Amino acid sequence: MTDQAVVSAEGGGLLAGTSPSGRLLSALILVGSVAFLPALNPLVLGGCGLLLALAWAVSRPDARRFALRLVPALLASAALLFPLALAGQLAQATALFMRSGLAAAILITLTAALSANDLAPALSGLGLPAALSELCASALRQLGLAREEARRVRLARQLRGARGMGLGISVLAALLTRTARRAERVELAMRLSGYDPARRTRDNSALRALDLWLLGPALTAAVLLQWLAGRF
Amino acid sequence: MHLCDGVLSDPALLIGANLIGAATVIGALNSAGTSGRRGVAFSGTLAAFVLVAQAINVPFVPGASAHLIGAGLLALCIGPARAILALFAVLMVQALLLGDGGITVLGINTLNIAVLPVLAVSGLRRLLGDSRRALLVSAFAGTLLGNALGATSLASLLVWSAAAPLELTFGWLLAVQSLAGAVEGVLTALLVSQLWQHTPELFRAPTQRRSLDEQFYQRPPRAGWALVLCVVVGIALLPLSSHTPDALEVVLTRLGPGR
Repeated sequence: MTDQAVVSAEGGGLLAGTSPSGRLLSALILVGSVAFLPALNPLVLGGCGLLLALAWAVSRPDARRFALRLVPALLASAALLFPLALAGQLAQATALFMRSGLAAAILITLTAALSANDLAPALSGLGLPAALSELCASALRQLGLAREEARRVRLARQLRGARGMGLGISVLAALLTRTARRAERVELAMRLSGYDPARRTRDNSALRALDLWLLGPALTAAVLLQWLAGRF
Repeated sequence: MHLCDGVLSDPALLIGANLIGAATVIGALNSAGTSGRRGVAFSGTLAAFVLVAQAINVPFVPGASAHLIGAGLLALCIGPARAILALFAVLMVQALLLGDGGITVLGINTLNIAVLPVLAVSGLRRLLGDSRRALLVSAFAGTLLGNALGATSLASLLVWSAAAPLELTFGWLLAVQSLAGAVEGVLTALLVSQLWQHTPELFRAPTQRRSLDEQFYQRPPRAGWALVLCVVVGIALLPLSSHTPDALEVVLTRLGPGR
Protein backbone atom coordinates (compact mmCIF):
# COMPACT_ATOMS: atom_id res chain seq x y z
CA MET A 1 0.00 0.00 0.00
CA THR A 2 1.53 3.29 -1.06
CA ASP A 3 -1.13 5.58 0.32
CA GLN A 4 0.42 8.78 1.60
CA ALA A 5 -1.68 8.57 4.69
CA VAL A 6 -0.14 5.22 5.58
CA VAL A 7 3.37 6.59 5.23
CA SER A 8 2.63 9.54 7.46
CA ALA A 9 0.65 7.49 9.93
CA GLU A 10 3.38 5.02 10.69
CA GLY A 11 5.51 7.42 12.66
CA GLY A 12 9.14 6.81 13.35
CA GLY A 13 11.39 5.43 16.02
CA LEU A 14 9.56 4.30 19.14
CA LEU A 15 6.21 4.97 17.51
CA ALA A 16 6.83 2.77 14.50
CA GLY A 17 3.92 0.43 13.87
CA THR A 18 1.48 2.24 16.12
CA SER A 19 -1.71 3.67 14.70
CA PRO A 20 -2.66 7.37 14.85
CA SER A 21 -5.68 6.36 16.93
CA GLY A 22 -3.46 4.62 19.45
CA ARG A 23 -1.18 7.64 19.75
CA LEU A 24 -4.12 9.98 20.13
CA LEU A 25 -5.87 7.78 22.70
CA SER A 26 -2.76 7.48 24.85
CA ALA A 27 -2.37 11.27 24.71
CA LEU A 28 -5.99 11.74 25.78
CA ILE A 29 -5.60 9.31 28.70
CA LEU A 30 -2.54 11.10 30.03
CA VAL A 31 -3.92 14.60 29.55
CA GLY A 32 -7.18 13.62 31.20
CA SER A 33 -5.27 12.30 34.20
CA VAL A 34 -3.16 15.46 34.58
CA ALA A 35 -6.15 17.76 34.07
CA PHE A 36 -8.01 16.07 36.93
CA LEU A 37 -5.16 15.93 39.45
CA PRO A 38 -6.65 16.74 42.87
CA ALA A 39 -3.36 17.97 44.33
CA LEU A 40 0.05 19.15 43.16
CA ASN A 41 2.50 17.91 45.77
CA PRO A 42 6.22 17.59 44.92
CA LEU A 43 5.82 13.87 44.11
CA VAL A 44 3.10 14.61 41.61
CA LEU A 45 5.09 17.43 40.06
CA GLY A 46 8.06 15.13 39.76
CA GLY A 47 5.87 12.48 38.20
CA CYS A 48 4.51 14.96 35.69
CA GLY A 49 8.02 16.13 34.87
CA LEU A 50 9.13 12.55 34.28
CA LEU A 51 6.06 11.94 32.15
CA LEU A 52 6.83 15.01 30.08
CA ALA A 53 10.43 13.88 29.60
CA LEU A 54 9.31 10.42 28.50
CA ALA A 55 6.73 11.90 26.15
CA TRP A 56 9.43 14.13 24.69
CA ALA A 57 11.72 11.15 24.16
CA VAL A 58 8.97 9.21 22.41
CA SER A 59 7.50 11.99 20.26
CA ARG A 60 10.65 14.06 19.69
CA PRO A 61 8.80 17.29 18.91
CA ASP A 62 10.47 20.29 17.34
CA ALA A 63 11.42 22.62 20.20
CA ARG A 64 10.49 25.80 18.37
CA ARG A 65 7.06 24.52 17.33
CA PHE A 66 6.52 23.22 20.86
CA ALA A 67 7.23 26.68 22.28
CA LEU A 68 5.05 28.36 19.64
CA ARG A 69 2.12 26.21 20.74
CA LEU A 70 2.75 26.18 24.47
CA VAL A 71 3.16 29.91 25.01
CA PRO A 72 -0.29 30.90 23.66
CA ALA A 73 -1.87 28.07 25.67
CA LEU A 74 -0.22 29.36 28.84
CA LEU A 75 -1.27 32.93 28.06
CA ALA A 76 -4.86 31.78 27.53
CA SER A 77 -4.84 30.02 30.93
CA ALA A 78 -3.35 33.08 32.56
CA ALA A 79 -6.04 35.31 31.07
CA LEU A 80 -8.82 33.04 32.37
CA LEU A 81 -7.30 32.91 35.85
CA PHE A 82 -6.59 36.62 35.96
CA PRO A 83 -9.76 37.40 37.97
CA LEU A 84 -8.69 34.92 40.65
CA ALA A 85 -5.31 36.57 40.94
CA LEU A 86 -6.91 40.01 41.04
CA ALA A 87 -9.19 38.92 43.86
CA GLY A 88 -6.20 37.86 45.94
CA GLN A 89 -6.58 34.11 45.40
CA LEU A 90 -3.07 33.92 44.05
CA ALA A 91 -2.24 30.49 45.43
CA GLN A 92 -5.31 28.93 43.86
CA ALA A 93 -4.71 30.72 40.58
CA THR A 94 -1.11 29.50 40.56
CA ALA A 95 -2.08 25.91 41.28
CA LEU A 96 -4.72 25.89 38.57
CA PHE A 97 -2.31 27.56 36.16
CA MET A 98 0.34 24.91 36.85
CA ARG A 99 -2.13 22.09 36.36
CA SER A 100 -3.43 23.60 33.17
CA GLY A 101 0.10 24.29 31.91
CA LEU A 102 1.23 20.73 32.60
CA ALA A 103 -1.79 19.32 30.78
CA ALA A 104 -1.15 21.60 27.80
CA ALA A 105 2.58 20.73 27.70
CA ILE A 106 1.89 17.01 27.74
CA LEU A 107 -0.84 17.25 25.10
CA ILE A 108 1.33 19.37 22.79
CA THR A 109 4.29 17.03 23.23
CA LEU A 110 2.33 13.89 22.52
CA THR A 111 0.35 15.27 19.59
CA ALA A 112 3.58 16.43 17.94
CA ALA A 113 3.75 12.88 16.60
CA LEU A 114 0.38 13.39 14.94
CA SER A 115 0.53 15.11 11.57
CA ALA A 116 -2.35 16.96 9.91
CA ASN A 117 -2.81 13.92 7.62
CA ASP A 118 -3.12 11.63 10.62
CA LEU A 119 -5.78 13.57 12.46
CA ALA A 120 -8.88 12.54 10.53
CA PRO A 121 -7.97 8.82 10.48
CA ALA A 122 -7.09 8.97 14.17
CA LEU A 123 -10.43 10.51 15.05
CA SER A 124 -12.33 8.03 12.88
CA GLY A 125 -10.47 5.16 14.49
CA LEU A 126 -11.65 6.36 17.88
CA GLY A 127 -15.26 6.31 16.81
CA LEU A 128 -15.91 9.88 15.74
CA PRO A 129 -18.58 9.97 13.00
CA ALA A 130 -17.07 9.98 9.52
CA ALA A 131 -18.78 13.28 8.68
CA LEU A 132 -16.92 15.07 11.47
CA SER A 133 -13.52 13.56 10.76
CA GLU A 134 -14.00 14.32 7.06
CA LEU A 135 -14.86 17.91 7.94
CA CYS A 136 -11.59 18.17 9.92
CA ALA A 137 -9.66 16.75 6.99
CA SER A 138 -11.42 19.09 4.58
CA ALA A 139 -10.67 22.14 6.73
CA LEU A 140 -6.97 21.26 6.88
CA ARG A 141 -6.91 20.60 3.13
CA GLN A 142 -8.57 23.94 2.36
CA LEU A 143 -5.90 25.79 4.36
CA GLY A 144 -3.42 24.99 1.63
CA LEU A 145 -5.89 25.96 -1.09
CA ALA A 146 -6.67 29.24 0.66
CA ARG A 147 -2.96 30.04 0.85
CA GLU A 148 -2.54 29.45 -2.89
CA GLU A 149 -5.60 31.50 -3.76
CA ALA A 150 -4.37 34.32 -1.53
CA ARG A 151 -1.08 34.29 -3.40
CA ARG A 152 -2.94 34.48 -6.75
CA VAL A 153 -5.18 37.29 -5.55
CA ARG A 154 -2.19 39.24 -4.27
CA LEU A 155 -0.34 38.75 -7.56
CA ALA A 156 -3.37 39.83 -9.57
CA ARG A 157 -3.71 42.97 -7.44
CA GLN A 158 -0.03 43.81 -7.85
CA LEU A 159 -0.20 43.37 -11.62
CA ARG A 160 -3.16 45.75 -11.68
CA GLY A 161 -1.23 48.34 -9.74
CA ALA A 162 -2.81 47.92 -6.32
CA ARG A 163 -0.63 48.59 -3.31
CA GLY A 164 -0.61 47.26 0.17
CA MET A 165 -1.36 43.86 1.69
CA GLY A 166 -4.87 43.65 0.30
CA LEU A 167 -6.52 42.74 3.55
CA GLY A 168 -9.71 44.63 2.78
CA ILE A 169 -13.14 43.13 3.21
CA SER A 170 -13.77 42.93 -0.53
CA VAL A 171 -10.54 41.02 -1.05
CA LEU A 172 -11.44 38.68 1.80
CA ALA A 173 -14.87 38.02 0.33
CA ALA A 174 -13.35 37.32 -3.08
CA LEU A 175 -10.79 35.02 -1.50
CA LEU A 176 -13.51 33.11 0.33
CA THR A 177 -15.67 32.51 -2.74
CA ARG A 178 -12.71 31.63 -4.98
CA THR A 179 -11.31 29.20 -2.43
CA ALA A 180 -14.71 27.60 -1.91
CA ARG A 181 -15.25 27.11 -5.63
CA ARG A 182 -11.78 25.67 -6.06
CA ALA A 183 -12.33 23.40 -3.07
CA GLU A 184 -15.50 22.03 -4.63
CA ARG A 185 -13.67 21.29 -7.88
CA VAL A 186 -10.82 19.62 -6.01
CA GLU A 187 -13.19 17.49 -3.95
CA LEU A 188 -15.09 16.45 -7.06
CA ALA A 189 -11.84 15.54 -8.82
CA MET A 190 -10.73 13.51 -5.81
CA ARG A 191 -13.98 11.60 -5.73
CA LEU A 192 -13.85 10.92 -9.45
CA SER A 193 -10.30 9.61 -9.01
CA GLY A 194 -11.50 7.09 -6.48
CA TYR A 195 -10.85 8.90 -3.21
CA ASP A 196 -12.99 7.38 -0.52
CA PRO A 197 -12.46 8.75 2.98
CA ALA A 198 -14.31 5.83 4.55
CA ARG A 199 -11.93 3.29 3.00
CA ARG A 200 -8.92 5.35 3.96
CA THR A 201 -9.89 5.46 7.59
CA ARG A 202 -10.85 1.79 7.71
CA ASP A 203 -7.50 0.75 6.35
CA ASN A 204 -5.21 2.95 8.37
CA SER A 205 -6.81 4.12 11.52
CA ALA A 206 -8.13 1.22 13.55
CA LEU A 207 -6.37 0.43 16.81
CA ARG A 208 -3.69 -2.23 16.44
CA ALA A 209 -2.12 -4.74 18.77
CA LEU A 210 1.08 -2.69 18.79
CA ASP A 211 -0.85 0.21 20.31
CA LEU A 212 -0.97 -1.74 23.56
CA TRP A 213 2.61 -0.84 24.32
CA LEU A 214 1.51 2.82 24.26
CA LEU A 215 -1.86 2.44 25.92
CA GLY A 216 -0.69 0.14 28.71
CA PRO A 217 2.00 2.47 30.05
CA ALA A 218 -0.27 5.47 29.50
CA LEU A 219 -3.02 3.96 31.63
CA THR A 220 -0.51 2.88 34.28
CA ALA A 221 1.03 6.34 34.41
CA ALA A 222 -2.41 7.95 34.61
CA VAL A 223 -3.45 5.78 37.55
CA LEU A 224 -0.09 6.26 39.29
CA LEU A 225 -0.35 10.04 39.01
CA GLN A 226 -3.82 10.01 40.52
CA TRP A 227 -2.58 7.78 43.33
CA LEU A 228 0.37 10.05 44.04
CA ALA A 229 -2.02 12.98 44.15
CA GLY A 230 -4.12 11.23 46.77
CA ARG A 231 -7.16 10.35 44.68
CA PHE A 232 -7.33 6.75 46.03
CA MET B 1 -12.44 32.35 25.12
CA HIS B 2 -10.97 28.87 24.80
CA LEU B 3 -11.07 27.03 28.10
CA CYS B 4 -7.95 24.98 28.84
CA ASP B 5 -7.50 21.60 30.48
CA GLY B 6 -7.02 21.65 34.21
CA VAL B 7 -8.80 24.91 35.04
CA LEU B 8 -12.10 23.29 36.00
CA SER B 9 -11.99 20.39 38.40
CA ASP B 10 -15.54 19.42 39.27
CA PRO B 11 -16.17 16.06 37.51
CA ALA B 12 -19.97 16.27 37.64
CA LEU B 13 -19.97 19.75 36.19
CA LEU B 14 -17.44 18.82 33.52
CA ILE B 15 -19.36 15.72 32.51
CA GLY B 16 -22.66 17.56 32.49
CA ALA B 17 -21.45 20.50 30.47
CA ASN B 18 -19.52 18.31 28.03
CA LEU B 19 -22.61 16.14 27.56
CA ILE B 20 -24.64 19.19 26.64
CA GLY B 21 -22.01 20.20 24.10
CA ALA B 22 -21.83 16.66 22.70
CA ALA B 23 -25.59 16.43 22.50
CA THR B 24 -25.75 19.57 20.44
CA VAL B 25 -23.13 18.27 18.03
CA ILE B 26 -25.10 15.03 17.66
CA GLY B 27 -28.23 17.01 17.01
CA ALA B 28 -26.45 19.16 14.47
CA LEU B 29 -25.10 16.01 12.78
CA ASN B 30 -28.61 14.60 12.48
CA SER B 31 -29.86 17.85 11.09
CA ALA B 32 -27.11 18.56 8.60
CA GLY B 33 -26.94 15.12 7.05
CA THR B 34 -23.73 13.27 6.28
CA SER B 35 -23.70 13.36 2.51
CA GLY B 36 -23.35 16.20 0.05
CA ARG B 37 -19.88 16.78 -1.31
CA ARG B 38 -20.54 20.45 -2.04
CA GLY B 39 -21.64 20.94 1.50
CA VAL B 40 -18.45 19.42 2.93
CA ALA B 41 -16.17 21.40 0.59
CA PHE B 42 -17.78 24.73 1.39
CA SER B 43 -18.07 23.98 5.10
CA GLY B 44 -14.43 22.91 5.10
CA THR B 45 -13.42 26.15 3.37
CA LEU B 46 -15.27 28.25 5.89
CA ALA B 47 -13.81 26.17 8.71
CA ALA B 48 -10.31 26.79 7.31
CA PHE B 49 -10.95 30.54 7.26
CA VAL B 50 -12.25 30.44 10.81
CA LEU B 51 -9.19 28.42 11.85
CA VAL B 52 -6.95 31.20 10.55
CA ALA B 53 -9.12 33.95 12.02
CA GLN B 54 -9.13 32.34 15.48
CA ALA B 55 -5.36 31.91 15.38
CA ILE B 56 -4.85 35.67 15.22
CA ASN B 57 -4.89 36.97 18.78
CA VAL B 58 -5.04 40.72 19.05
CA PRO B 59 -4.06 42.46 22.32
CA PHE B 60 -7.34 44.04 23.27
CA VAL B 61 -7.23 45.44 26.74
CA PRO B 62 -4.42 45.32 29.28
CA GLY B 63 -4.12 41.69 30.34
CA ALA B 64 -6.23 40.18 27.63
CA SER B 65 -6.24 39.45 23.96
CA ALA B 66 -9.18 38.59 21.78
CA HIS B 67 -9.75 36.74 18.57
CA LEU B 68 -12.55 36.36 16.08
CA ILE B 69 -14.88 33.41 16.52
CA GLY B 70 -16.48 33.26 13.09
CA ALA B 71 -19.77 31.81 14.28
CA GLY B 72 -21.81 34.59 12.71
CA LEU B 73 -20.38 34.13 9.24
CA LEU B 74 -20.74 30.35 9.41
CA ALA B 75 -24.31 30.48 10.68
CA LEU B 76 -25.43 32.85 7.96
CA CYS B 77 -23.64 31.05 5.12
CA ILE B 78 -24.22 27.38 5.84
CA GLY B 79 -26.99 27.29 8.42
CA PRO B 80 -26.85 26.58 12.15
CA ALA B 81 -26.39 22.82 12.01
CA ARG B 82 -23.41 22.81 9.67
CA ALA B 83 -21.99 25.88 11.40
CA ILE B 84 -21.91 24.04 14.72
CA LEU B 85 -20.25 21.04 13.08
CA ALA B 86 -17.68 23.21 11.33
CA LEU B 87 -16.84 25.06 14.54
CA PHE B 88 -16.60 21.76 16.41
CA ALA B 89 -14.12 20.55 13.80
CA VAL B 90 -12.16 23.78 14.21
CA LEU B 91 -12.07 23.39 17.99
CA MET B 92 -10.90 19.81 17.67
CA VAL B 93 -8.12 20.73 15.26
CA GLN B 94 -7.08 23.58 17.54
CA ALA B 95 -7.04 21.37 20.64
CA LEU B 96 -5.18 18.48 19.04
CA LEU B 97 -2.83 20.14 16.56
CA LEU B 98 -2.35 23.66 17.87
CA GLY B 99 -2.66 23.24 21.64
CA ASP B 100 -5.34 25.93 21.73
CA GLY B 101 -8.13 24.97 24.11
CA GLY B 102 -8.41 21.83 26.18
CA ILE B 103 -9.44 18.39 25.01
CA THR B 104 -11.17 17.36 28.25
CA VAL B 105 -13.34 20.47 27.98
CA LEU B 106 -14.09 20.21 24.26
CA GLY B 107 -17.81 19.95 24.90
CA ILE B 108 -17.75 23.07 27.04
CA ASN B 109 -15.78 25.00 24.42
CA THR B 110 -18.24 23.78 21.80
CA LEU B 111 -21.08 25.13 23.89
CA ASN B 112 -19.45 28.53 24.49
CA ILE B 113 -17.80 29.12 21.13
CA ALA B 114 -19.98 27.21 18.69
CA VAL B 115 -23.48 26.53 19.97
CA LEU B 116 -24.45 29.71 21.79
CA PRO B 117 -23.04 32.18 19.22
CA VAL B 118 -24.48 30.21 16.27
CA LEU B 119 -27.91 29.97 17.89
CA ALA B 120 -27.87 33.69 18.68
CA VAL B 121 -27.18 34.61 15.06
CA SER B 122 -29.57 32.04 13.63
CA GLY B 123 -32.29 33.02 16.08
CA LEU B 124 -32.03 36.66 15.08
CA ARG B 125 -32.05 35.73 11.42
CA ARG B 126 -35.21 33.72 11.93
CA LEU B 127 -36.82 36.70 13.64
CA LEU B 128 -35.70 39.36 11.19
CA GLY B 129 -35.87 37.50 7.90
CA ASP B 130 -33.59 37.10 4.91
CA SER B 131 -33.47 40.57 3.41
CA ARG B 132 -30.08 42.22 3.03
CA ARG B 133 -30.68 44.66 5.88
CA ALA B 134 -31.98 41.90 8.14
CA LEU B 135 -28.88 39.81 7.43
CA LEU B 136 -26.59 42.68 8.27
CA VAL B 137 -28.42 43.34 11.54
CA SER B 138 -28.35 39.63 12.35
CA ALA B 139 -24.64 39.54 11.60
CA PHE B 140 -23.81 42.43 13.91
CA ALA B 141 -26.29 41.99 16.73
CA GLY B 142 -26.18 38.20 16.64
CA THR B 143 -22.40 38.11 16.85
CA LEU B 144 -22.42 40.57 19.74
CA LEU B 145 -25.14 38.66 21.56
CA GLY B 146 -23.50 35.30 20.86
CA ASN B 147 -20.16 36.44 22.24
CA ALA B 148 -21.87 37.77 25.36
CA LEU B 149 -23.77 34.51 25.86
CA GLY B 150 -20.61 32.47 25.46
CA ALA B 151 -18.77 34.67 27.93
CA THR B 152 -21.64 34.37 30.41
CA SER B 153 -21.57 30.60 30.14
CA LEU B 154 -17.80 30.48 30.60
CA ALA B 155 -17.91 32.87 33.55
CA SER B 156 -20.64 30.79 35.19
CA LEU B 157 -18.53 27.67 34.90
CA LEU B 158 -15.46 29.40 36.31
CA VAL B 159 -17.42 30.79 39.25
CA TRP B 160 -19.13 27.50 39.98
CA SER B 161 -16.20 25.15 39.57
CA ALA B 162 -13.04 27.17 40.12
CA ALA B 163 -14.53 29.40 42.83
CA ALA B 164 -13.59 32.47 40.84
CA PRO B 165 -14.94 35.77 42.26
CA LEU B 166 -18.39 36.40 40.81
CA GLU B 167 -18.39 40.09 39.97
CA LEU B 168 -14.81 40.19 38.77
CA THR B 169 -15.10 37.13 36.53
CA PHE B 170 -18.39 38.11 34.97
CA GLY B 171 -17.30 41.71 34.59
CA TRP B 172 -13.95 40.80 33.10
CA LEU B 173 -15.10 38.13 30.66
CA LEU B 174 -18.32 39.86 29.63
CA ALA B 175 -16.62 43.19 29.06
CA VAL B 176 -13.75 41.82 26.97
CA GLN B 177 -15.88 39.41 24.95
CA SER B 178 -18.67 41.91 24.34
CA LEU B 179 -16.16 44.42 23.06
CA ALA B 180 -14.59 41.75 20.86
CA GLY B 181 -18.06 40.72 19.76
CA ALA B 182 -18.92 44.25 18.70
CA VAL B 183 -15.77 44.48 16.58
CA GLU B 184 -16.36 41.05 15.11
CA GLY B 185 -20.00 41.93 14.48
CA VAL B 186 -18.97 44.91 12.38
CA LEU B 187 -16.45 42.82 10.43
CA THR B 188 -18.99 40.04 9.89
CA ALA B 189 -21.61 42.49 8.69
CA LEU B 190 -19.15 44.04 6.23
CA LEU B 191 -18.13 40.62 4.93
CA VAL B 192 -21.76 39.51 4.61
CA SER B 193 -22.49 42.70 2.70
CA GLN B 194 -19.70 41.95 0.24
CA LEU B 195 -20.75 38.32 -0.15
CA TRP B 196 -24.35 39.39 -0.70
CA GLN B 197 -23.15 41.63 -3.50
CA HIS B 198 -21.19 38.94 -5.32
CA THR B 199 -22.85 35.64 -4.36
CA PRO B 200 -26.32 36.34 -2.98
CA GLU B 201 -27.35 32.69 -3.48
CA LEU B 202 -25.33 31.88 -0.37
CA PHE B 203 -27.98 33.45 1.80
CA ARG B 204 -31.11 32.25 0.10
CA ALA B 205 -33.74 30.56 2.22
CA PRO B 206 -33.64 26.75 2.23
CA THR B 207 -36.59 26.29 -0.12
CA GLN B 208 -34.95 28.49 -2.70
CA ARG B 209 -31.57 26.78 -2.38
CA ARG B 210 -32.66 23.25 -2.98
CA SER B 211 -31.82 23.47 -6.66
CA LEU B 212 -28.26 24.51 -5.83
CA ASP B 213 -27.44 21.94 -3.19
CA GLU B 214 -30.16 19.62 -2.09
CA GLN B 215 -27.99 18.10 0.58
CA PHE B 216 -27.33 21.37 2.37
CA TYR B 217 -30.58 21.86 4.12
CA GLN B 218 -32.67 19.03 5.41
CA ARG B 219 -36.21 19.10 6.68
CA PRO B 220 -36.43 20.17 10.31
CA PRO B 221 -34.61 17.77 12.62
CA ARG B 222 -36.70 14.86 13.67
CA ALA B 223 -36.46 12.64 16.65
CA GLY B 224 -33.35 14.03 18.29
CA TRP B 225 -34.33 12.04 21.34
CA ALA B 226 -30.66 11.35 21.89
CA LEU B 227 -30.19 15.10 22.02
CA VAL B 228 -33.00 15.54 24.49
CA LEU B 229 -31.73 12.69 26.63
CA CYS B 230 -28.19 14.04 26.72
CA VAL B 231 -29.36 17.51 27.64
CA VAL B 232 -31.61 16.15 30.39
CA VAL B 233 -28.79 14.00 31.79
CA GLY B 234 -26.40 16.92 31.54
CA ILE B 235 -28.72 19.27 33.38
CA ALA B 236 -29.57 16.59 35.94
CA LEU B 237 -25.90 16.16 36.73
CA LEU B 238 -25.24 19.85 37.22
CA PRO B 239 -26.86 20.14 40.69
CA LEU B 240 -24.76 17.17 41.82
CA SER B 241 -21.63 19.19 41.37
CA SER B 242 -20.19 20.03 44.70
CA HIS B 243 -19.91 23.56 45.97
CA THR B 244 -17.40 22.54 48.57
CA PRO B 245 -13.80 23.05 47.58
CA ASP B 246 -11.96 20.07 46.18
CA ALA B 247 -8.77 18.62 47.68
CA LEU B 248 -6.54 20.98 45.76
CA GLU B 249 -8.42 23.99 47.01
CA VAL B 250 -8.51 22.70 50.61
CA VAL B 251 -4.73 22.31 50.55
CA LEU B 252 -4.31 25.77 49.09
CA THR B 253 -6.65 27.28 51.68
CA ARG B 254 -4.65 25.69 54.46
CA LEU B 255 -1.43 26.96 52.97
CA GLY B 256 -2.85 30.42 53.29
CA PRO B 257 -3.40 33.20 50.77
CA GLY B 258 -0.63 34.87 48.89
CA ARG B 259 1.78 31.92 49.17
